[in-house]
Amino acid sequence: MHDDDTQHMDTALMLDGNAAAGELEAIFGRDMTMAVARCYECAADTMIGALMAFTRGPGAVLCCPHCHTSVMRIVETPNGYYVDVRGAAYMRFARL
Amino acid sequence: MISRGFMGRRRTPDVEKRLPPGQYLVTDFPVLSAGPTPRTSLDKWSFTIEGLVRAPARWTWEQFRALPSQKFTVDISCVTKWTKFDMTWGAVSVDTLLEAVDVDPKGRYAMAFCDGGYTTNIALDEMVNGQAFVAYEFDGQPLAPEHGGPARLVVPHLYFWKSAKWIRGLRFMDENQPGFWESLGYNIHGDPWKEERYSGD
Repeated sequence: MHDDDTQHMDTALMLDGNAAAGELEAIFGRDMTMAVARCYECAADTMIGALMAFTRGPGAVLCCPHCHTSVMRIVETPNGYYVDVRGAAYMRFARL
Repeated sequence: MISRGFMGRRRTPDVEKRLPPGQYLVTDFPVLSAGPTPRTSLDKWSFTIEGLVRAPARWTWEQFRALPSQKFTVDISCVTKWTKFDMTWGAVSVDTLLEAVDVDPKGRYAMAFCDGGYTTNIALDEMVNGQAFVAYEFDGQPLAPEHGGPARLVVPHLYFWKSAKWIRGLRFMDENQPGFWESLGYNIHGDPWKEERYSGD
């Protein structure tokens, strides 16, 4: 019962990376949802739009759907955007 | 952001006085998480105090729950601008936990560490004398997982990101190293009355 509640809450709070699409486009100047991020921890390749997203906090946290490692963290402050991609081995972008 | 606080409730002088600058009042308990809700069964849960201490201390869930506990009723302010008055927690005071260890005089700062990898830094002198506690109950009920259960740190005089959900211990350090949000633009200290939201505030 407890587990069911937790499960439910996980899903209720979680979005996918598309929830951060606007903010990412404002930062990078292009659509980022189709870019691929390789998880530093488990090496899974995931499109940014398909990462798990937790946006109801001081910042946005995008996690690997396979191992839950934080792949990207984004904070918007009056001084600018902070983007931490330590959890990504790399990001791969299509040529424009 | 649309603020329910402004529309739903008259801001009496009493409310005004208790509300830190830039905050609005809520009556619900918003859920904010930086990752998936971890599921640690109570028989695998432990709380550890380590780092710059003479000898680390560790409690199982049973041992932790057998410690003297208290009720704390406090106002909570989140950096995302909500404030909730009179939140009642069942908790073990950090003072009680610290009785089990000898903190090195150099260990003036602690990093709270958690299931799921979250961290936050707090100075030792801001956790003692009843200023911080490890809560396992909210409103008389076991603390729900989405609110940080089985146990979360609560440091009511600082922004709520310091009140680490799913806490598993404190690591004492000789310098004030930044935690999860403090290392990404948020204030190293986080006093709501001084509006210490971002680094440099």
